[in-house]
Amino acid sequence: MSKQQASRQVAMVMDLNKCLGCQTCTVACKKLWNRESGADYAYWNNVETMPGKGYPGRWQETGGRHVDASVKRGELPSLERDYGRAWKFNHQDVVRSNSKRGDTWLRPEGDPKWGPNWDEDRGAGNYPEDNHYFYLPRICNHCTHPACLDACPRAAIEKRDEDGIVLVDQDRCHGYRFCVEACPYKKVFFDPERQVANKCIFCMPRVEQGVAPACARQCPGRMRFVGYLDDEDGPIHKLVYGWKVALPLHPEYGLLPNVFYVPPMSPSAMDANGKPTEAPRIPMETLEGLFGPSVREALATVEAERAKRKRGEPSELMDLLIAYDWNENFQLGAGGSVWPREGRA
Amino acid sequence: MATSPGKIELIAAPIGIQPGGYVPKAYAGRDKAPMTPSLELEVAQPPGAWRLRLRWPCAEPVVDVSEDPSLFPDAAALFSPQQEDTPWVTMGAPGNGVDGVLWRADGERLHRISAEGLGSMTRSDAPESWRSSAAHERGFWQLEFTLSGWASLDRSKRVAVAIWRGSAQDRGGLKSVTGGFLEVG
Amino acid sequence: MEERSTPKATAEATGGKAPAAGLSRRRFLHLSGLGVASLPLLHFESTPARAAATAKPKLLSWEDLYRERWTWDRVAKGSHGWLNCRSACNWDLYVKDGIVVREEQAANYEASEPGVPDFNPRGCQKGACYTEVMYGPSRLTVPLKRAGERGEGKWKQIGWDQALREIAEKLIDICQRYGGEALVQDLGPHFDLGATNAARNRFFGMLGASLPDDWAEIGDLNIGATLSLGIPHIGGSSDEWFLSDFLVVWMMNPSVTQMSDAHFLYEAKYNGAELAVIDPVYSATAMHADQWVPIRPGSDAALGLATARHIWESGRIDLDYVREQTDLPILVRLDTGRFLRESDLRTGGADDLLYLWDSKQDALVPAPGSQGNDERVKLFLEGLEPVIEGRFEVDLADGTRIGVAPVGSLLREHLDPWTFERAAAVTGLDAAVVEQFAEGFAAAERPMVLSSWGSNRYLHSDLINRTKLLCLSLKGAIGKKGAGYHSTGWVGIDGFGQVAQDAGEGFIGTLRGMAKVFGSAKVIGMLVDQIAGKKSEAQVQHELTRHLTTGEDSCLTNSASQNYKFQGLADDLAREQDHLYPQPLAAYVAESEAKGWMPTHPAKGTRPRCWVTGGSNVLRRTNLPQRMLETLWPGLELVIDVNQKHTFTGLHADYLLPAAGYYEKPGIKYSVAYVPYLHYCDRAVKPVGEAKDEWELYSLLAREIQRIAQERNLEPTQGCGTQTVELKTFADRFSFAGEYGPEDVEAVNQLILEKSPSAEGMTVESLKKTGIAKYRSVGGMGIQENLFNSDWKGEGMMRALTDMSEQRWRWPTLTGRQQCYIDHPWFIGAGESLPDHKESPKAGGDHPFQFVSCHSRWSVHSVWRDTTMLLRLQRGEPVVYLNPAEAQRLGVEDGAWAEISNDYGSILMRAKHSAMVRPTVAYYFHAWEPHQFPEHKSYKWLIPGLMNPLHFAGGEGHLGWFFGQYTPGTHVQDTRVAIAPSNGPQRQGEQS
Repeated sequence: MSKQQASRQVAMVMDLNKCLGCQTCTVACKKLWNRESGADYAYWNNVETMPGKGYPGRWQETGGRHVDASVKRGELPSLERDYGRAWKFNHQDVVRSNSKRGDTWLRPEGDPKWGPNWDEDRGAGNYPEDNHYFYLPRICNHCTHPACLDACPRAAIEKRDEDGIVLVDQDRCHGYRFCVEACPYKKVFFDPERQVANKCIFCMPRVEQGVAPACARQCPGRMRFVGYLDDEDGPIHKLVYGWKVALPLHPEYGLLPNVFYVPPMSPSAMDANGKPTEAPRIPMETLEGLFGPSVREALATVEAERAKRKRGEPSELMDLLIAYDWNENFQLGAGGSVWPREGRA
Repeated sequence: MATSPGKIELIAAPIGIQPGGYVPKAYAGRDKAPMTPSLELEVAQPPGAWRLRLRWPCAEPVVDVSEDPSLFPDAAALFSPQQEDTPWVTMGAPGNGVDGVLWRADGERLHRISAEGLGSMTRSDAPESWRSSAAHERGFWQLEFTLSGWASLDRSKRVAVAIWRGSAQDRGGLKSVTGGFLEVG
Repeated sequence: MEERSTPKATAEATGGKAPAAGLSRRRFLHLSGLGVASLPLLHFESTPARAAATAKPKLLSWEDLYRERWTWDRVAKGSHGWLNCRSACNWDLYVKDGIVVREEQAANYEASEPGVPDFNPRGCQKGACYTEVMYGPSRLTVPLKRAGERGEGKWKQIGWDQALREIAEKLIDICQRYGGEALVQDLGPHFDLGATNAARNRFFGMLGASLPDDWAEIGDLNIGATLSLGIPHIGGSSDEWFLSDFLVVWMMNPSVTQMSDAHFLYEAKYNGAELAVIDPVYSATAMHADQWVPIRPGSDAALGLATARHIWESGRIDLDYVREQTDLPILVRLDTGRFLRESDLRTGGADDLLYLWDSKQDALVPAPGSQGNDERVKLFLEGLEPVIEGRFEVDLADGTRIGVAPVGSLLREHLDPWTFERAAAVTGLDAAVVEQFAEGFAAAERPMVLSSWGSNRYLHSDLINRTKLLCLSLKGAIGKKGAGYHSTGWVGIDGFGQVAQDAGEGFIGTLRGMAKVFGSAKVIGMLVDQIAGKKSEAQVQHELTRHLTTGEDSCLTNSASQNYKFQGLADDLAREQDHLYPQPLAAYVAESEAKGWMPTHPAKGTRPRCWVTGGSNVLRRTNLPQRMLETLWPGLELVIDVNQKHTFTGLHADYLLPAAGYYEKPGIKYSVAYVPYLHYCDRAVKPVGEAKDEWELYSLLAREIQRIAQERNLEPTQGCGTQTVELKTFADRFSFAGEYGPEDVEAVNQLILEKSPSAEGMTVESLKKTGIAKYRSVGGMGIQENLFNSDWKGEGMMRALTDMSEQRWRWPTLTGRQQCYIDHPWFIGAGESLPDHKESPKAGGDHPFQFVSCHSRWSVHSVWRDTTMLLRLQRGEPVVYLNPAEAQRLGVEDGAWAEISNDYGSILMRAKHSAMVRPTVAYYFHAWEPHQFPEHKSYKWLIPGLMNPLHFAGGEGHLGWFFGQYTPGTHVQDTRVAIAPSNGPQRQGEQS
């Protein structure tokens, strides 16, 4: 039987003020883990433009948990409407086509209406007063109380004792998909070819070797921190518990996610004449809707420490977020920052 | 020797006893009525084997689920008790299990199944000799099993049936079942 | 198995062992085969020799299967050598079963100095899936020959022997009939600085082929910076951004186009900097700004002028700096608007000795550092107190007395009208936004402006960039640590230039080559100047480079004038822009040509007869490609695309030769200064299919030419200028007298390293282990400019321009100073002697939308543009971004087809609604292939690409032809279009 409470918990902090929306994390993850045809629609790591429907589309409306943390029947996302079918293309037809006529051009099969990044850079608001958007990268939250684990009638989902990584046992899973429904973040996927569920494994094989997950280590924006939650000297503990600037997504679901976000600052909004106001462009309600009421204080803390830095005063928080030594972003124990140079036997 | 086809009323498997914290709450009340209300079962015993013919209504068959992660296949299972007092509703109990056969409409093969309580079902490849043929016609699935060497059934002469209606997202404990083991011998 | 929708479904099932495939599909992850190997490795005709990756049965737990995936046989260091990406990044390439299965950033950089973040990890999502291009469905793996009409899509696979023989014969034939200059080597934005690119430059250079400079043609050349500073490519390493206290991202989108460097901006914010982003679009960079300045497209100069005025009027001008470093004290004749020259004051005086007014002596004094000042070659004022405002009278040699004034006076008067309110009216901003920005700039200690190559795409971009530089000059920021201007600097890889031409041995060989061109006296004179301490090493190299590229036997030319002459654009451009300047464009071009200011090859009455591209994709990138296809293309007797993949240009070629991909050939990534490391690309695996690296390819082609020439005892042919080309020894010379054979690509890379001071001590062997090594100096002569930091020797932050700002060497301008005043008669005539605001003209007709382009996060030019993995993260097709409210008003739904039209025609794109877009702007991302549009008509079909006629100017100081530094270009952002809803492509045009 799986155990719910792990002895240690590995965790991630993502600083949204450094996110480029470049999707290197998405590609890094995809290349490493999700190349089978049954997983071609699936992105364990995705980056979505907020405000927007996200991926899978409308995931925040698909249930699993009520806002009061009670169970709510979830919805299985649909391939076409919510995930988007992985489009196939006609490359070979095009290079053999008559380019003077141009009646064969490169394009996706079918008439796509949705995909994993369909809402990229769409956002909301009116130009130039309050138009806004920001990027939200998402992986499995490896919750302290995983809804997926709770939902599996077969006890096929395990929260590992040594690091709290939540894994779907690929042998035990019978493909019922209650986990997919129950996860309010919709971060469990289902491989219809193999008929088993799968999800972000927090790059378990890498973490076991002290190497940060691909999405984190490959992030050119240097926006991700990885380490153990109980490591009081590590950046995770300091950002989450010390400075309280890193917040879980949808804390109201009550699952205690172990991925935390430094919420985004934004340029000031403007009035109808285009004059800057005091208000940030991203409405506070939008951020509260995602990160809960603590987001105000978290943002205020970041701004206050920035102001100190502007005045030339030291700030541990700013030093942490600057991340002078990139290797220090990843604290996975002995050898955690050492990249293995040789293939494993 | 064969029984003539008999119409058997099915019930929804009880939700409240399903394992895990999610299904009993999320699907509370779903067991008021079965998704598949009835089943016709015809049993024959050719030499050394069992032939079981099942027929049940299914307006929208779901066969190919290999591309769409939101689809569930139609499926049916037969299981027999390993002991006299094997509990039926929980699919056995620790040390007192059930076993049988699982057919899925998307199937490439039959599964041998066994369970010792809810959530404990294991699947393995069915014996080479076990056969099934299935067809969907005029709103009904017709499924015929030919099974030999099924010790539990040989011994108990009792079998229970479970039907999963894919279009209703039946799977796992969301299923329609016979109200107990049926005497077939 | 039946379709699930079939009403009568049947299914058979049996027990027993399921088929292996079924078992594996059902229960096991496909781990051993790995994703990349399960990709269909689509080849054009044949399947090349490659071990098929087969799934090996494994007896492992499901967790071990995950662990198994993160294993490899070998790791090679590599990068994307030929890729025209303005970054460089080091990758670990994971090889398993002979295939590069994935790549991951090596991340082995160090911080430049304490207190500054390091460069790790560098790399983006495209680099993270180059293997998708390498093994992808557009990959070219075998030589192909056209089997129908050009562009008809009919191809025949041929062997390399046939390809090389036929091409060699055709090249010889064209050289004999028209001369080598009828061969156009389309350099294009796809090359590295290693042996493989040197091979093609060397090969075509030896044939005397034309080599067009298309830096400006593609809209990337910062002529504004050349005009102001004499250098277009400015900036050291990107970690310097971190040190600024007021960062202005002005016409750049680093989150999208400079992904490996962007973090320094956001870290600078945490370090206390204010970040201002000036962009009509609420970009992925603007979202992180403190101030977003939503400016009207093309009106940026107005904001700059108001800022400059405010800096001055509020007393934040750095007077000591501007007196020493800028032209503000240089005297201008009030009667002509020309600088006061020694030749005005005395007969036989120099044309390039200029003056300032010293307030101590109350007298004219030759300006220190002025190009003609042999007495005071540096900028030190040494006791002088030049005035920057005032009016004086001087007597000319002919006895007339005229008024003169320092540039400062003219400038201040020029700036005077540019109040916040006026700038607001022009820019469409609220005056409070202008003021907030101007005050932030003025108050900063270390203001820094990032201005991308994309800042050069308006007709009047030079004015805009001159204005930005003016603001920085007034603040004393240029050349100051943590401040100034970043427009992408370059480290010189001298060895590349030497290997890329057949000039003999080493630097001496280069000098010999130049001596041949210019006569030795000039070159010796330059060296004498350096030895005498009159010029810095960098200055001498700058001048040598310039003279090398402008010599009469140089085959270098520029794309824009080539396009103007041969592409059939002259009538379009005359109609677009002749009303904008005192003379028609044709008159400027004619005067420039007559005076030898701007060379066009082919000259000698011929025209391009052969077009060779190396992935530069000219038909994708050129403006109005329909003109090129109608006018230039039919006259070509040979079109060759040497490329790793199929491109639109390839669709219209005669021969497609498969080039080795980025992981299949050793190379040296080009040397942008953002990251102060040389990037070596190791060969991780053998070339896919029958692909060859270019060193081998051109070595073999050279042999073939020599063989044919000897067999037929051919006479020498003519190259450009007065070159004669001996074909009978062609391969002997190509191979450095047989020293470097077709297999010796690594050895040639070693040779390039050895001849490059910036790579001193580096070896191929050590670079194969590390992938990178920190430069040892900023280098000398290259195809680009060096950083003007002679002191940097590999330690500390690699900064730029310190030779002038700290060592006080003169700037490479006419005045020897940062120069806001241009006194060329053309500039005076056009009212552009001082930076000013000019409206963006309506190109393509008077239509309601400005058609604004930006580089995409999803591709580097057209590489990755058609990559399935990345298309799935977009919308799979080209999209035009529209403001949602405006699109609704037009009835153009999100995701629906939109017809985009102007005077040149119409095209179809899918519409995408985005709140980031300004109303009246239609925004699109760069480099979709035309064959991704219905009818193969891309947005380029609507874009005339205006040419600034003033950039044909020459004959004075730093104005005039200089490869990669001063050439006319084309400007796309002035294009206007109309947008209308569309039902999409015609039914008969649709594919099944």
